[in-house]
This record gives sequence, structure tokens and C-alpha cells, in this order.
Amino acid sequence: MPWIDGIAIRHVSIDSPAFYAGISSPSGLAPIARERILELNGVPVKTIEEFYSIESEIQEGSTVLLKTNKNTFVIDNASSDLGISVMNAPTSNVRKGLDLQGGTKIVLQPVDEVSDEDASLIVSSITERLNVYGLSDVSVRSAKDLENNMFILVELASLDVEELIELITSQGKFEAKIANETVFSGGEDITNVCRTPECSRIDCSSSGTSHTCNFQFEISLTPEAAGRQAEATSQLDVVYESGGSYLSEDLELYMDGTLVDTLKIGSSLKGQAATKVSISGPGTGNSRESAKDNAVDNMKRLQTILITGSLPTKLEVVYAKPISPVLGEEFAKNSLIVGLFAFLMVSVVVFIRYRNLKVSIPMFLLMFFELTILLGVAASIGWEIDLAAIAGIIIAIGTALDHAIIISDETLEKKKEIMSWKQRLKNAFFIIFGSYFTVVVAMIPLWAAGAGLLRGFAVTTLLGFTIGVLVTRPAFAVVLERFTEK
Amino acid sequence: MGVKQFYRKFHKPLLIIPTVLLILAIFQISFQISSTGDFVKKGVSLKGGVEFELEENIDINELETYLNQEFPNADFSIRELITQEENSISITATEIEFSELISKIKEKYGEVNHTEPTITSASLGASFFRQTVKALIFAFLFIALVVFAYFRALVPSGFIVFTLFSDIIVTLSIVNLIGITISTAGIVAFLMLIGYSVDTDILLTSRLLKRKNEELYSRLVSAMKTGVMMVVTTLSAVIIALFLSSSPFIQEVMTIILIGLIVDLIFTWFQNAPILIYYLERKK
Repeated sequence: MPWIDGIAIRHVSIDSPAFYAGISSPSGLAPIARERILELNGVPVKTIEEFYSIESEIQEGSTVLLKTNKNTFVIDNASSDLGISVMNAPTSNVRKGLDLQGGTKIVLQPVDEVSDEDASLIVSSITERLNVYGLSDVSVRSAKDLENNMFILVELASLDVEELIELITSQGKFEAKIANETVFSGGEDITNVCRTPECSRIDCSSSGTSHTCNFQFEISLTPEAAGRQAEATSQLDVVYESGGSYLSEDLELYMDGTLVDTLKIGSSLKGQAATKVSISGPGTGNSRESAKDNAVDNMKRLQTILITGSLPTKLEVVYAKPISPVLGEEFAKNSLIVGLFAFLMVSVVVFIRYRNLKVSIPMFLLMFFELTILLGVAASIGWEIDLAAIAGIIIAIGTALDHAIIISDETLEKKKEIMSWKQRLKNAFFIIFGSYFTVVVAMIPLWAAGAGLLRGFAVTTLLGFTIGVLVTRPAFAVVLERFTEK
Repeated sequence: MGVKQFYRKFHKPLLIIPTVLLILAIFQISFQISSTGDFVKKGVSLKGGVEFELEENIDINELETYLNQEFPNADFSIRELITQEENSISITATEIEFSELISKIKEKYGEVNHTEPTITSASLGASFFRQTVKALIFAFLFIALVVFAYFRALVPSGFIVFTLFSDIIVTLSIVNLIGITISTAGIVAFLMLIGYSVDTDILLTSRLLKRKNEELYSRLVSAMKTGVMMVVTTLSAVIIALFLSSSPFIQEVMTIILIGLIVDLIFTWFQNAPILIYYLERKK
């Protein structure tokens, strides 16, 4: 395995300094092809910790250089959060699951019963929401468990769980009402949501220790929606207050039944089909920075929901698990070390028992090949390896060895009668196939149990056993025969 | 005394050991059910709750008393973790909402640094537990069917299924006695255990039934050589993994498998072997 040093880009947040510098998120690339970071701000970077440590010392507003194996990027207006999340450069195309890479796994359950079509609608809406919000490295799918409950499984590289949960779970029913009549609603009525500096902005003010910021952005309506609005406003009277003339009713904006904004309608708009509406909202915090961040978050969330529309039903979080990339990396490294030592230990035991390299070597080879083939198949079907999958790999290899022992003992034992090699093998394989079928049936219920959280285990075990029975064990038998023939 | 003679003389009284163990195990589990309502000690992922770390220097006993006072219905497990830099406290709490918990903590200790929590809702935990137990039972039944179909001999197949059953029950009771909390990892471990246990029993039964031309006890001895070797290799790998792995998931899996394999050794050779021998000798 080529030892590729360093870290790779996992994801770039939209609207971040890195984004504006032209750095792109990887998508659809095989892991090895991902762009690798070589230097940040002139300092060579080899590990995840190094990257974040250098990043944290960046002066606000300065310009920094990011050198990758493909390009050098100039990042203007940098800050200690460039918007890049990194991971260890993949050295193979085996995809690592969240347990080994870091990220968050969220399981959602719809509050009401949903049909299969609704479920796939939810999946695509959530994916779209996360993408629009700026996250590209996401995986969303639906799964049913044994009791026919529907679940939505979301896996992301980001660790901002609370923020994302709000984004994903709000049903997103947006309505604008005048005098309690809905004039337009989110989804089809809105043709455009502004996210560029021309028609969106953030203003901040502070008084003493409290800081508040206000965001504002424009949305465009369809002619029909604008027409409905015109009809509603044409019936209102004009009133005069605080130095301006307005209509007698306000435009009230509701999200999921909660009032989020109230807009006074200028009297000049009476009966007019205005296609542009400006929406605003607050952001608060202990410091100007955090108030601004809060305003940005609220704005982004509202924009996302307006763009992607509402979900068929409300969703509830039933499971959320964050894993830091540093911890994930530790697990990955640790798994390799444990595997190596276990292999050594088992080899020693095998050698002590058989005291014969001609028997021991085929066994070492068997274990090695079983592992390699299993990982190869997993990589080629894009299956992610998480801790449960590792448990499955362990049992597959462990049993492979057990079966090799059965084959060896059956065929090598000196017997009083003369049984052909074939007959002995048949006996051995009788036992092996017996155990194979028992394992297969044991794994089947696991496929769907509990929202598929243990599916990784079932898949690797089944794969490992099937490959073993069809390929590695017969191969072992043949090799053993050759080696011990003389 | 060689193994052959030992078995010839003692294979019937040998059955006392596994029988006693099985009875004790059943008692333990019944007791557990009547006192806690569950036959295992369930962890957060099966019961619902939160797990996270507090990165502050707080007195653990004080924290524990405070939390138990504020939330009498919740179960807390608070441990100190010694990492390279600072102290961190790992908090595991069942039957409580994270937002409630963290706001109570902040009430007493102010703005505390904490990691993002792992949250499992009680309903998901409960349904997961239900379904995986069902999965285990189905696995067991399917295996019984396969074994019957394979050997086409009712009684020896019954022995295998009975031994498998005893394996699981006794392992379960030992796990309970030691006080291990079962999470999804534990369920995985029991499934792996079923696979490993059934291997040695199929090996034993197949050897004793099929090799008609060899003397019964010689067959037994050769089966033992193979069977014990299989368990020893697996045990050595499991022990290494248990001591070297840093993942709590893998550790839990390996601990349960370790216990299960030792139990399997006892039950395969002190229960399955003797009753099979008894049956075959009677058949003659």
C-alpha cells in the first residue's frame, strides 16, 4: 500500500473564505483522487491537528495561501474558520464509515405515518436542504425496521449537530398572510431567494453588552402569487403612522405556524402585484461575532427552507451520534494495530500446534487473502466500513481459520483405513457448509433490525462467509494438498 | 489417565457440571427479570438516553449527588477520563433529555465546555432491543432447522440446539453477574457467539456420527483436538483485541465473546459430547 502522507479536503462550506477562493468540495471522486493539502500560510501541513492549529492563528481579514497537490489558492478576507473540513488522505479506496472518519449520524422518525413515496420525497428534500445549506458530503436514505417503522438516516461530515437538526427537522411550512388569509406560501409560489450581497445583508448594532444583528434578504414571487397579494391589498385602507402611509393590515410571515416576521406594507403597494418581498430576522449573541454568526445561521436556514419547500410531515430525532475526526482516526489506526497483533498471535498458535510450515503457511495465506478479498469487494461496491463491519470481518476471518483447521485435521490425520483425499475433503466441507448455512440464516434478520444500524455487520459477515466458502476454503484445500503431497 | 478412558468412565457424571451451571443461570436471569424488569442490564443505546463528555475540572462525587438529586428517575454513570491534556468527565444518563440535563448542569457550574452528545431516544432504543432480540431468536430457530435438515437425525440435532441454548443462557447470566451493560455491541457479540458455538457442536456431532469405521472414543478425541484448537485460536485473537483495542464497542464485543467461548468449551465437551456418547452407546 503506498503510504500517502498528509490530509485531504473533505468538504468546503458555501459562502466561506475558502469557497470564494475557488476551492471546491470533492464530489463523486474515488477516495484516492481527492485533493490533498500540502501547505497552509506557508507552513507544511501533515496532520489534521496541525491544520486546525495553524488555522486558529490566522489573523482576521488577512490573506493566506493554501497549497494543494493540484493548485495554490489565494484566500482573501480569511479568518480562523476558513470553512474547510479535512480528513486524513485516503490511502486506499476502501470507504471508511463515520466510526473511522468522524462526522455525525442522525436517525429521524416521521411523526405521522408516511408512505414509501413520501419517504423518498423526504429523503430528497433533506438532501437538497443540506446541499443548499452548503454541505455536500451527505448521505441520506430511508430504512424500515422489522416492525415496519420508517426511519430516515442522515450521515454527514459536519459536527454541528444542533444547528443541522433544526434545519432538517423543521417541516418548513412557510406562509405569508394578510388579515389571516394566506397570500402566498413556500415552495411553488417563490421563484427566487436571494443569497448574494446585492439583495441580502446583515446589519449589526450593539448597546452595552448585548449585541443584535439583523439579516435581510429578498424573495421573488410568481405572477400568480403576486396577483393574490395585489387582490388582498386592494381591499385595505390606508393609514398614517410614524411618518409614513401604510396599509391597515400587515404582511405576516409564518414558519410552521410560528410568526417569524411582520412587514408593514407601504400604501403605494395597494392593489399592486409586487413580485419582490423583503424578509428580515434577528440574530443575537454575547459578542458582535457570535451575534453575526447567529444572524447568518438563521438567515441561511430560512433561505434553505424557502428554496427547498416543506416536508410532508414533521420529523423527530431519535438518534444522533457525533464522532470527532480525531477519534475516528484513532479507531482506524487502532484497528489496524489490533488486527496485526491478532494475526501474529494466531500464527504463533497455529505453528505450535502443527509444527509444520507446510501446513502453517497455507493458513497464514488463507487469513491474509480472506481479508484482502473481503476489503476489495467492499471497496468496489462502495460499502463503508464502520465498527460493526469490522466486527463482521473479524468473525469471517476467525471462522475461516477454524474451517482451515477442520480441513487440515480431516485430511492430514493418519488413519487406519484408506480414505481418499476427496472423501476426506467431503467430510470436512460437510461441516463447513453446515456452519455456512447457519450463519447465513442468522444474519438475515439483522438486515432490517433496528433501522439497519447493524447492517454493516450483517453484510461483511455474509460477504466474508460466501467468499470464504466459494473461494478461499477450496483454495486452501488445494494448496494444502500440493504442499503436503510429497 | 488418557482422555479416552476418562470419558469412558466419567461421561455420565460429567453432565452434572453443565446442568448445575444451567440451573444457576436460569435462577440468575429470573431474579434479574423480577428485580429489574429486564433480563439484561441495558445500556444507553438500548434504553434511550445521552452520552457526552464535560471538559471541565469538576468534582465527580459532587456532580453525581447533584444530578441524582435533580433527576431522581434518571440513571447516571459518571466517570473521569484521563486523556493527554485535560481532565474530562464522561457522563452517561438514561431516561433524560439532553437539553434538560445540560441546562441543569449549567445552572450549577456556569458555561461548561462539552462535546456533542450521542442521543438515543427511548423509543428507538426499545424498538431496537425488541427487534434484535427477535433477530436472535429467529437466528436460533433457523439454525435449529438447518441442523435438523443437515443431519437428518432428530436426537443428535436436538442435542446441538440444546447445547447452543445453554451456551447463550449461561453466557448471559455471567454477563449479568459481572455487571456488564449491553449495548448494540453486545447484541453483535451474541450473534457472533452463536456462529462460533454452533461450529464446534456441528464438528463434534458430524465426527461422531459419520465416521462409522473408527472406535467411538477415538473419534471423540480427534474431534476434541480439532475443536479445542479452533477455540484456542479464536480466544487468542479475542484476548489480543480486548487488551489492545481503544474502541469501547470492540471491547464490549470481545469481552462477551471471551466469556461465551469459555462457556462453549465447557458445554460442548461436558454436555454435548457426553449426551451424544450416551445416545450412541444406547443405540448399539
